[in-house]
Amino acid sequence: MIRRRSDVLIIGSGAAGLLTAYYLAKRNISVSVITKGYGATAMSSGCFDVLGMLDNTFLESFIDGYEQLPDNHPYKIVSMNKLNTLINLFDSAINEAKELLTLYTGDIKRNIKVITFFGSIKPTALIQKSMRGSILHHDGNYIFLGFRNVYDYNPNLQAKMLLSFAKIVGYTGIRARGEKINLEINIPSIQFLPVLLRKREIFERFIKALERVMNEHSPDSILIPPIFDNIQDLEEIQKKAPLFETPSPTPYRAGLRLNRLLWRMVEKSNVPIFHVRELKVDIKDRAVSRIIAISDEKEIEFISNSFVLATGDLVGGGLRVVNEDKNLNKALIDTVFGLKITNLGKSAFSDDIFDKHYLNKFGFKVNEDLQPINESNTSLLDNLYVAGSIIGGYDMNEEKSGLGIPLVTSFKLYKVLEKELG
Amino acid sequence: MSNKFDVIILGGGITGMGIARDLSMRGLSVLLLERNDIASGATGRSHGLLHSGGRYVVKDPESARECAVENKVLREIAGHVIESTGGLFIRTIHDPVDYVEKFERGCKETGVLCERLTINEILELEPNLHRDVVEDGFFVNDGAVDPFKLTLLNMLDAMNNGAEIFTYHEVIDFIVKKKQVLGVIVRDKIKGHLREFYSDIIVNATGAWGGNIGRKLGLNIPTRPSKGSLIVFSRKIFNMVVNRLRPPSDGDIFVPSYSTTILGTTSIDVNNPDNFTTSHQELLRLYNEGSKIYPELYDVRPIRTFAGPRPLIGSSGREASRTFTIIDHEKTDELLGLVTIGGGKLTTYRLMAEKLSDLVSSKLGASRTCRTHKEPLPGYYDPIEISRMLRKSKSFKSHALRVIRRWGSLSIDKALYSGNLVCYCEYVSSGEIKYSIQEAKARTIGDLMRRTRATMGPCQGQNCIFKLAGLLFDEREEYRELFLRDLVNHLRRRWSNTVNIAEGALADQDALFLYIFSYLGNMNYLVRKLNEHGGNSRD
Repeated sequence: MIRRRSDVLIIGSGAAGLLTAYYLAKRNISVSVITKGYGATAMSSGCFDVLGMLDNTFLESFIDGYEQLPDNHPYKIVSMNKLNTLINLFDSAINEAKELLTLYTGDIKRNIKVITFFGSIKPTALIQKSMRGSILHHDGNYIFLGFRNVYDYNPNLQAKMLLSFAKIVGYTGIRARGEKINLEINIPSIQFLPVLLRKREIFERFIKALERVMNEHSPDSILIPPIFDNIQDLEEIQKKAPLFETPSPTPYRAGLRLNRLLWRMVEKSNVPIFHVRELKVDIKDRAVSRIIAISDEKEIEFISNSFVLATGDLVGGGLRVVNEDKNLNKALIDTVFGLKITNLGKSAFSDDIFDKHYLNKFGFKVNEDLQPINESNTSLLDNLYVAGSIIGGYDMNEEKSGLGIPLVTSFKLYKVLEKELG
Repeated sequence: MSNKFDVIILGGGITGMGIARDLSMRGLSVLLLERNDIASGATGRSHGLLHSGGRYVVKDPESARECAVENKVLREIAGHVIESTGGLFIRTIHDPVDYVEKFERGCKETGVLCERLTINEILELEPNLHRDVVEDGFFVNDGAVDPFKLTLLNMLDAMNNGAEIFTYHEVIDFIVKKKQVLGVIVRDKIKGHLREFYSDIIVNATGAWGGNIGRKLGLNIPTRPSKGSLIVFSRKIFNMVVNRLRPPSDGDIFVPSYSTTILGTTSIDVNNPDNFTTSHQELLRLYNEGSKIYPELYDVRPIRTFAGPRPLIGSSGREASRTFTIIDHEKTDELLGLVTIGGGKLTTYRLMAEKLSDLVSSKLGASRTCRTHKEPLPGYYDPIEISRMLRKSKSFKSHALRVIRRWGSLSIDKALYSGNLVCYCEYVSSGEIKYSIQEAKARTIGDLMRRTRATMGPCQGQNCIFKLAGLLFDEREEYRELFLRDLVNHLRRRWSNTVNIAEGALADQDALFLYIFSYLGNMNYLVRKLNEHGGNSRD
């Protein structure tokens, strides 16, 4: 068995895990990361949403919603109930990870409204530079671009959806329409497009079609989902046409792009990342003593002072709903330690998809040091910490607070561990 | 088009559609009116079992006899949408011993073919059965039939014979003069306007909704809707239909359906046939009984639940006969021009349609006789043709096979394998979707689901709902005003049928669903705002 020692072992390679590793490594604290896959960050829209809505109303900034958040909200906990502390944490989190800004534009303290892949409008704080044309403007003239005989999405439907949304948010001067262009080639799915566009004649047809769309409608933005592997390909096109990406769900590329950037940042800091299959956890005297993982058919023993669980929520795979008994009563557990987080009763979700969901607020209850704690506020394991969406107390779907939580909790956790490890 | 027909049929379930086919084949002019989509009521909410009759041999011999005969007929006319799985009746240690003898005698008396098997033979056929509880069993000629497709093929054939089929047309009122029903006033639910249609005779084939129709005429039609709930699991558990060898009761049947398994059924009397919710108690019953012969059931990933009303007439619940009833309102209510049909099984729909059509023909003085058992339904092919069909279809084999399984030879005739894939779970391409919209009357995402199985796989439409809406958006102009409501309704329905069993991978899937539509798509915001403006009432 191979043995690896590090000050901190991080479990999970989403935004929370990788950012924590990155911040720690910059301070020369030895870190290892183990992961089973690529995490839910790769499935995200790639935008940093901090706090976009409360009570179904758009917020100008997370600062405006701070006071209304419940005391067990991760933002309240990491800032110890002081708004200024949270603002500082966010500022430092961005400043200390400057490489992020190669990909991003925006201000973490100011929300913008962006047009998504669906034609809907959603608040966010930082968007990828390739998306800057998807920002909603009062008199914007938008064209959704699609391709004939490709059914991944329908630009006409998206345009119609945007007009429905714009009416509701009071942006009455907006113009939107869909355009389907014909590249005279079979495109099985638009994800093939970056590859196809490498062929000169297809690229030229594409540019010609873009020029036609521009001349006919002179739009402010022509919108497509993030499909470019190489952002340079898009930047090349942007010299000629206002072609921009929209925030889109998996399987589109923006989330993957962020994940890859974080991965590179971590690897450049000489943090080893291990792909592992099974995990075995050893616990002694109320502390994690070691984790044994199987990687490349080899057993590796990880020994660390501190262990960080950054495995995400249901989508990321860190949490799981299980049937507790034959009465189909449900419970929420974490998938690494099997720690039970809460009983859910008969159902984990509300009956109506568009209602608030009971389950969403659940995850680990934590103290100021981001240690998971029980009802009587004592830590579950002495050297276990958590970061990211595995923490409970907030409802991402209601608040539109996606990547803001991993960003700020990983920075806070780095501060805690730095102090702890001297 | 004239608005006068020989016969108007109300109800686009399998019964109504079978009647439309039968009467139009006899040369009568027929109009069928359906409130929603075809097979959207009880037909599409059944487990799709092609009964051998075995289930009814003891308590309901008449129904068993009908099933035994029609089982054979359907294989001849609709073999291409039937999976000849065969079936088992298993007696476990939990089931009454004396039922075995009754069953064997019942089969003999009703003409239901059965063959007694040893325990070893049973376990060899179905190694997943719980070895410790199986004591005895029979092989029978059960099968699985796609209820949506069976209804659809009847519709296509009726249309070939000149019948008019109007879906999303709801009966508002009847036109009656001197104790004679002359016609109906219907509302076109998509375009919103009212229309009148006249006929010599109206057939009420609305099943569990028959009572509601009767009330519009002041009639008391004794429909007794009995809700049956079922669970769909994401993989095959058994190769065959597996029944418990005991009087029919809750959770005693597993039906393989395409790549899934359906576990049924419960039986609860309901007042409102539109009650499609599955209660927690029902789920417990199904799991509890199902796990007796397959203990690992709790570990299989469920996909969704669904529930539908049995169209019983007269008596209710498990006691009611599963055979069918025809009410001639001329005799019972002195009301001319209306007949009602209710009860029956999916398996016996053709026989029901034949008997009803005989009555209608004699009332109209029409001379031609039934041919529905002699002519196969559209898409029928000789199984030896399969390799030639595979060669002709220009798609990859696993896609081509699935399309042929869904549509038979129509998949080649109509090039349904063509175009890019839209649903990756069930392998549905744009050719199949476009055909369903252009020629098979699909108007909503749900209609496409019923026709093609798109959205029925493990992801439950997460990847293709938007694509389907987009295709409808391009193909049908009126959908451009409806798409948002359709999308919202579809997401709601799909959601309510999965959350009640959400655990494990299904809960993860549901969370991803929320993430994509509510979080990223911000549709929770949109729907609430629309509700505030009163613009989006729930359907």
